Formats: sequence, C-alpha cells, structure tokens
Amino acid sequence: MSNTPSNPAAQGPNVPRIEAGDRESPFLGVFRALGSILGPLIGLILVITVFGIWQPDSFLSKEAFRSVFEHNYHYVIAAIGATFVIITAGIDLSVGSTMGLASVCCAMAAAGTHFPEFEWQQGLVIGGGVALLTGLCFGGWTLQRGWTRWRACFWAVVSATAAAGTGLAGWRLLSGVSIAPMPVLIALLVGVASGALVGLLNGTLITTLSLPPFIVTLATLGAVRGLTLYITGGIPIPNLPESISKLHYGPWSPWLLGISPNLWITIAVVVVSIPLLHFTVFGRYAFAIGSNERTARLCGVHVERWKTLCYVIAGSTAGLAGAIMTASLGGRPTNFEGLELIAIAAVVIGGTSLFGGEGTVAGSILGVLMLGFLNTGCTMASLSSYVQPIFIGATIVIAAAIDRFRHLGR
Amino acid sequence: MSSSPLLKMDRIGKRFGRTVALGDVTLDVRTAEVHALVGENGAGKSTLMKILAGAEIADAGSIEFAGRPFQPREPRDSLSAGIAMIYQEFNLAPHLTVEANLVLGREHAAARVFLAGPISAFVGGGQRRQCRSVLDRLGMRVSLDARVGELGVADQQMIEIARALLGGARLVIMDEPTSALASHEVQRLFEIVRQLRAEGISVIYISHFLEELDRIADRVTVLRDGRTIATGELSDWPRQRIIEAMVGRKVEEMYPRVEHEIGEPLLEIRDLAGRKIPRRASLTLHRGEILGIAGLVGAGRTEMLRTLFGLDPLRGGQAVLRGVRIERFTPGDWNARGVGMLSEDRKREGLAQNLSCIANITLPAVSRGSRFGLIGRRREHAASRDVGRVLKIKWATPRDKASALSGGNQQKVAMGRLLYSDAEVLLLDEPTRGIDVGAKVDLYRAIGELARHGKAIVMVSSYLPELFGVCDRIAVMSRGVLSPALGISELSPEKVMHLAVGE
Repeated sequence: MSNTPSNPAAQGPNVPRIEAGDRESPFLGVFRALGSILGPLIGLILVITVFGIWQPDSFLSKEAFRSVFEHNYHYVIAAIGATFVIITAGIDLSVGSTMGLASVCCAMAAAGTHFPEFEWQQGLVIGGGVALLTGLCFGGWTLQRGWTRWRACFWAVVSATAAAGTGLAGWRLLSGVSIAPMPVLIALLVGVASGALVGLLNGTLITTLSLPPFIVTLATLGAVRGLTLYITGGIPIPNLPESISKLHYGPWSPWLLGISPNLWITIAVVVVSIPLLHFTVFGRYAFAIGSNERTARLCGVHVERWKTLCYVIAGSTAGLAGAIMTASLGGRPTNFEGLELIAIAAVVIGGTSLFGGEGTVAGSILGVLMLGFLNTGCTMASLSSYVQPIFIGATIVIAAAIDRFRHLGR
Repeated sequence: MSSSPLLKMDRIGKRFGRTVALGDVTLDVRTAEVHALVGENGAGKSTLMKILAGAEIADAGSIEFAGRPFQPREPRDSLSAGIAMIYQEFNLAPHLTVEANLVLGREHAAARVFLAGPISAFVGGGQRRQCRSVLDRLGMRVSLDARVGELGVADQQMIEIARALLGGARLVIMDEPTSALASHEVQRLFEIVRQLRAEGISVIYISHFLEELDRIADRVTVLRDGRTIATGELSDWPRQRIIEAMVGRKVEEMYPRVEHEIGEPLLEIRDLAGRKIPRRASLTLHRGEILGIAGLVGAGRTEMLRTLFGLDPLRGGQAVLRGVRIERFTPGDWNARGVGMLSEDRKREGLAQNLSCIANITLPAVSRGSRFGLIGRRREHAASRDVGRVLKIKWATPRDKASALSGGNQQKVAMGRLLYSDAEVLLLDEPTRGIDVGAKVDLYRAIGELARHGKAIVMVSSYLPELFGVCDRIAVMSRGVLSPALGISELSPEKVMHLAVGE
C-alpha cells in the first residue's frame, strides 16, 4: 500500500456542473410519454373497433360517445385520486363510500340542515370514537419514533383524553344548530372537505400504525358507509335546491363554451393532476415511495407525510366526484356502492402497477374511458346488464396479465 | 486422502439478463477432501454453488457427480443426490423444534400425521433416535425439543450440518461459515469439518478469510469475473499468490491512494446506543478523513450507522455536527445538514429498482433545481450525466431503469446520489459488496477524491484489506461497542481481528 499521488488525469468527483448543452430532442420526450400509455390506448381503440364493427349504427354515433362522457366523468376524477395512492404501492378501497358521504354532505349543505339536539349518549360515543382514533395514532407515531412503551402509552392516553374533550365540546356546540342552505360552490367544497377528512383518516392510520392500506381502507369502506346511512337515516336528502342540478346539463350544454360545469371541473382536475404527479417534487416522492419505500426514507423523504397527502388527495377527489354527482343523482345515502372497484379497475387497466412506482394519470383516464365504452357497447348490443361485470372482470385480468408479461420480458 | 473424483463441473456458464455471472467455470472436487473456493465478491462463487445446490439452473456446461451425469433442476434433486448447502443465512424454521427442523421435508409417513415431538417417538420409526445419534456424532448436547430460534448462531449452524448428515450428504457446501462465529466456535467448526473429511465426506469451503484456509483446506480453486483462474494443492499456493489471482492485478493497483489532508473535526458522536446494538459507540470524524469500521457480522456496525442516521430507533447518545448539537436524528434532518448514507442492501434499500437512474440519483435533492415545486427535468438529466461521467457509470442513458444496470453500476448510482446531494459526511455501509473489481477501484478512487475535497467518510466493511487500503483510521466494533479509532500504521489485520472477537 503506497501513498502515491493520484493520477492527474483522473477527474475528481466534484459537485456536478450543470451543462446547458445537454439537451434531448423534444420529440423523444413525446414518444416516451406516448409509450407509457400505449397499452391502455391500444385497448381503448380495440374496444371501440370491436363494438364499432358489431354495432356500427348505434355505437359509432354522436349519442353513444356523448353517453360515455356523460356517465363517466366522475369516475375520471375518482380514478385520478386512486392513481396517486396506487403509485405509492397502496390502495384505497373506501372510494365508493367516500363518494357517498361527500354526496350526502354536499346535499345537506345545499339544502340546509339541522343538527339534532344534544344528547349525552351520542356525545359520549362521538367523544369516545375521536379519543380512540387519536390515542391509537398518537401511540403508534411515538412508538415509531423510538419512545419507550410506557412513555408512548402515557402520552397516548393524555392525547386521547384531550381529543375526547374536544370532540364532546365540539358536538355540544354544533348540536341544535340550524344551517341555512349554502350556495352551490360552498356545498361542493363541503363535499370535498368531507372526502379529504376520510382520506386524512386513512393516511394517518396507515402511516402512524404501519398498517396495510388494504385493511385500513377496508375498515373505512364499511364505517363511512355506515356513517352516511346513520346521518341521513337511510333516506335521500329532501328539498335539494334547483341550482345544484344546473351543474349537470350533460357534457354539451349551453354553458361556458357549450360544456357543462361538471365537465369543466373534471377538465380542471385533469389539468392540475397530470403535472402534479409527473413534474413536481411531490410526484417524484410518490413514485419513489411506491418503488421502494426504504430507499425514499434513506434519501430523507418524509415518507409518512407524503403518503398521507396521497390518501388525502384520493379522499378529496372521491369527495369531489361524489359532490358533483349530487347534481344528477341527488343526495341518496346508497349512491356509489361498490364503485371503488371500478376506480381501481380503471387505474390498473391504465397501466398503473399495483406494486407501486409505475403509472400515469393519462392511463387511468384511458382506463375509465375503456370501461365506459365497454359498458355503453354492451348496453347497445342489448347484452344483459349482468354480463357487463363479467366483461369488466375479464378486462382487468387481461390488463394485469399484460403488465406481468411486460415485467417478465425483461 | 483419497484422490477419486466426486464432483466435476465442466465449463459452466450462467447469465442474468445482460450480466454474465459465470463465463467458463471448471471445478473438480475429490472424495474426502476440503476444497476451498475463493474469489472476490461478485466473482461467481455463490452462483456456482447455487447451481450445484439446484437453486439456479446453468445455461451451459455439464456436471458429473459420483461418476454420473447430474443436472439439478431444483434443490430437491441436489439433496437426494447427496449435496447439501449451508447458506450464510441459515434455512431453519426458528419457531420449530430441533427435531422438527432436522426432519423437515422427510418426515416418516406416520410421523407426518403427528409431526415431530413426543408422540412421534412411538410411531416415528426411530426417527427421533436417528436425530439424537447425528447430534451425538457432532458432539452436540442440545435437546431435540428446544426451539431452534433460541439457540446460538454456532448451534444453529451445527443443526444445519446435522440436517445435511441426516439426509445422507456426500458433499457439503459451506458458504462463509465462520463469518458470524467467535474464535472458539471457529475452532469447533474446524474440528467438525475435519471429522467429516475423515468420514469420507467432501466439503466445499467458501471463505473470505484466507488465513483460515491453511488450517483447514486441502486444495483451492480461485474464481475471478465468472472464470476459473487457478486450481491446485494449497501447499503450492501461498496467500499472496491467491490474492493476486483473485484480484487479477498487483495489490498496490487495487487501492489507488489519493493524497488528502485531514482537517478540523466535522462530526462527533458520543455514546450512541440503539434499541439492542450498538451499545456504546463514540467517534470523531474530521474533514478529509476516511474512517473505517471493522468488526464481525452482527457486531452492530450497520446498526450503528442506521441508528445514527435515524433509520433505527435511538436509545441514547449525542451528535455534534460542525460544532452544533443535533437534536433530531431523522434521515430528513441529516440530509438537510449534508449527511448522506449508502445502504448495504442495494436491492431492497439502496435503490428504487424500477425508477430511472436520474430519479435515483436526484432523490435526496429533487427540490434543488426545482421551481415552484416543478422539477427542472433538463437540469437533472444533465447533472445525472455528469455524475455518471465522474463515476464512470455504464448506462445507455441516465433514463435507464436502475434494474437494467449491473451490480457495480447500480452501486455507483447509489453513490452518485451522495455526490449529487453534495453530502459533506458520507456514511458508507459495505460500499463494495458484491461488485466487480473494476467498479471497486472506481469507487475507491471516488472515495479518495471526495476526501481530497474535504468531505468526511465513514466506511463499514467486512473486508480488511480494503479497509487497510483505503482508510486513514480504523475503529473496530465488537458486540455493540466501538473501540477507539487507530491510525492504520498502528494496526495490523491480526490486531483488528483480535479486537473484533473481543479478546
């Protein structure tokens, strides 16, 4: 081992310089982007072609395409949120329930509502529930940070007690209050906020307790549906104002540029979410967490924070989707049952890997459209509506198999 | 010593995707001999042994075992032929008893119903007696009903050997059997190996500790870059000659020394303690210094880095960085303060395999060079290319997925991340594990250059020559306690080993 001076020709690993000359043809970028959604694109064209040949008159008409857009834009919004979660290698099964809750909350805000008079029994149940969740999450979080068991336990109890008091006092303040009908825009925001809260609950439980997302969102799937039925008493919200149904004229309506407000909202979500996932630091973190959570942590990414944000996004989009559908469906507590499967299916068909780290927003949109055309096509071919789920199931298997082959082929 | 051949592996080849793991390997083992198989990490030893054990299938070449052509398709084929492999990570079910582990997969028909345990003693056809006699043969006094998870590492290893004997093995492969053992346990293992040889069983012995070979091996085969470089009687192969055959160059060229100056203290750690290990670790790291951490596997070296970096829970200790006391030990905080870590587990932690090399390199500092949260894609592409040039990473474009690269290049990508984030303190955990010699030399040079630029480096390694070749000072971790760091001129490999086993 000699201490010879270094070879002068060897370049030292200095801080890399940023060279302006290194750039790539913009066409290549476009091709790359196209390549990543090629699968779902071909699938969509295939579905349209098959039904076009089968039912050329009815399927290849303006009405058919219109019907696809009319009946699917809310899935687009929900599927985009689900994409964020699935890219982090998670899953959100509570999408359908969240949409139902948001729809009901939005309807209640728009129609005006009256909170029931205060009862101790109810107040204690609410306080207890809040206390339980807070205590669990706080305890899990502190244990993860390496606190001793007794210290974590003590502070979990303290925080739970505080939360119980807050919950009880909050309910005491709210009970008996009447709320006047709100403007439609505010009502929509109430819907989004309720969805975001469900997302926050999902994300917090998953990250603080390191529970599998499947289990947590399976639990909220049931609990949120129950909550929705409970607050409405199982009946639709009466006295919905006329103004809210104006959101939904159908896609080609006499509104701004001949497009209905609902579709504008959908377009806005798409326009915001594509750069958010693919071009921002947050989006990169989501991919990194999904691809390898441990690597992300090693690189100093605040995994818990960004993962929770992904669930909040999924909850918010589900909330928005549910809220804007109040326009056409009204505030029925049983709306959107089982819709989570369609949202997840669309995302998977769109080429997003359930193992995380791979996926696109555009693919998920194409996935929704593909399911939409499949549905409309089946209806037009007068196939029994019982057959459609079978087709959807087959499509999911094929999409997942193609994804598998792609990975094995390497 | 008999000279009849037991195993002949001829011109074995194996590829993984674009990587050639084995090019042309020939190995022959005689009956009742201890055959040492040596080579650098990534030379192909593990792949070759996995092929023999049926865990991988060869692409080319032929194997002859006990005079008959032999083509293992799965581990069961090798086991029934009489080849048993003892991996570094034991294949034991920790919750089951010793007896259950010994007979796993070959339970007596009746015992299959009742499984192992007292009942099977009546119906198991003497199975329990067989187990007992094998353990006696190995001089083991553990109870057959003890849970394997409660035994020590050395005893677990003996259970593995006993299982091989019980299955009628004629060839036992041992992969780094001494890496986790204390010296008296090594002594006992060697006695067992000699006993096996006396009973007519052959042993293929893989080890990094070349000094062990003189005590135990009859012949040696050296692999390098997936090829057999040399094979012969150990008496003809002094240690220096083996090393040169393994490395393929003179030892001096292996560790390019880059002149660097040691400056003021940068990071001080006092009494760092994790949940179990490390129990007590203190060190002072200076600017422009390369500090090596040696020690046995499981002594707490990796845990020390992980606890310090906030990946494992901290129980106590203080850290002072640039004269400022650190309050929060989390990867995010360290990262923001210019401290970066390289993981020992490239596959599961070091890299996000299905992301591009760009995403992997820029991950700790994506927000740098981004505006309003939007990533400057052209900048990060250009910067990644620069990192690639500096570390000589071989890729078609930095947009390649990390998984498309060879092990050495993947490790360079993980290292490139620390260059990109401009870390001042680099915690490197086994930076050269499992990569080829060329990539190693590139990494050593990069580490030297970093020191020359005033960065401070902590390097954990199980390979002593590497530590002596690259580091300025070496500290030794033994059972969770870190010894004071000494300059390499004051140390010798023997002294380090003594400190490591705590003698």
